[in-house]
Amino acid sequence: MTLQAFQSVLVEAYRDPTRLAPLLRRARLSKAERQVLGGLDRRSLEDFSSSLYAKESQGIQRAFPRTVAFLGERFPAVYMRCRARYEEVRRWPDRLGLFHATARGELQAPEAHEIARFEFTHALLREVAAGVADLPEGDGLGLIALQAGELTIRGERIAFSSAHAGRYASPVLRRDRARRRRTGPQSILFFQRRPRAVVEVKVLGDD
Amino acid sequence: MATTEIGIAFRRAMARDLLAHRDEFDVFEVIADHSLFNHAEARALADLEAQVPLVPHGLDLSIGSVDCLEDGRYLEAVAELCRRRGGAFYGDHFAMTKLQGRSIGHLSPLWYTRAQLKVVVRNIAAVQARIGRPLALENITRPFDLGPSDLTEAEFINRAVRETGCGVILDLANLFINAHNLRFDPRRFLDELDLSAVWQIHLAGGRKVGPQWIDSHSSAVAAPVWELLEEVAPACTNLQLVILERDNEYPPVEELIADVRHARELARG
Repeated sequence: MTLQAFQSVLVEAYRDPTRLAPLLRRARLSKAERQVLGGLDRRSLEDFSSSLYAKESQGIQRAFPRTVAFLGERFPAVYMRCRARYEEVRRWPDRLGLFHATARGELQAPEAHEIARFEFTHALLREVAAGVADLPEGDGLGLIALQAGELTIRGERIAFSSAHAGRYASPVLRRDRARRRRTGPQSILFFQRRPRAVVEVKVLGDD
Repeated sequence: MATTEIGIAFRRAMARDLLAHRDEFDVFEVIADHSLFNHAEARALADLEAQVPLVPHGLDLSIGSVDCLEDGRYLEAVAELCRRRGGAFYGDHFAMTKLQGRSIGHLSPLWYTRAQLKVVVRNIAAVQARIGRPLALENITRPFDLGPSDLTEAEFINRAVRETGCGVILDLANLFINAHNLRFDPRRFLDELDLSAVWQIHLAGGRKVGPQWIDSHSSAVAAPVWELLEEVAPACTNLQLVILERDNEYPPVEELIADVRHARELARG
């Protein structure tokens, strides 16, 4: 049965219409399936892909307007799935991304102060690192800068290695916490180093 | 025809207003997925259910995916929800939302072929057995037709109903939007659909962007959708519920109440 291959190509095409042609070359499909996929209207496909992106973005944008503005400036090419609860998180090794909530309604976007968990392969971490510089100083945006082997928070670069197992909390973060108690929600981040890096980010309110 | 209940989609942004006027609504529709893995949300829903009956509406069953049944964790969560909550059926969509562990992030249309129907029938039967109640599945908007199909959408739905005993959630706004965007007569679809299988009707407002209507749930129900409701409701002999869905750009609650009352008049005749 080739329906699985058909659906697989279709899903990939929804997510990235530019991949359709190479996927079609590789996929084992029936003649009819190949004709349908090959005949998909490129414009409609791109529109749908854009609407997927827009729909997901709207949810997170409603919840975290300042954070999203920051991401738009600093992480335009980066794309990461974010879910409200640990239990909902799955691996997304296929796609690099940032803060792209599955916004099927505002309730599914992460709430302020909830923990979202992001998983990266180390290759993806390196890719992120290529596009990431220091975070801006203390504006309470609450996003992270990641670098392979380094973490930069509010201008302070923190080196870590695979020896840093378990939860990582830097002096900067401890200071952040103290400040947060005084000034309201700010950034916070936990970092874990594992064979597949797991980053746990407490999503911040924009208040 | 049994008395049709009329409800509204319960959304957090409108919670206070909706609860203040709870007597206007027979039920609240809640998004099942928000509480499936979220204990706090599940507790909040239990509190809410003490005030108004709830109708869970799922988003991520992905009944069209070839590997729908492999997401055991999701299915178990839905089954658990069905064990906890009342209701004659569990609602989701004729759609694909995930495949091989990856989410599309949206309800994506199915290709109405016999091969796809076979998968859908298999999935519906297995899910119904797992959750212990029938499914009612909704027609979705589709951005484009995938291509020449073996079956029309209505035939596809009818066959799925006939072979599994599931019901249909007829979203009239989705029908109106598809009919406009894909240029077909919505009445032709309704003529073809087995209306006795319609257990629930959804109403919502869309947004027009250029020549296309978008299923945005962000505006008042359009006049042609009301007309469709008036025409079709008497023929839906097993209609149990009509739900008004509004997900953003919320108007004053009085407007929603007026729409719910109007829906009640039309649905109950």
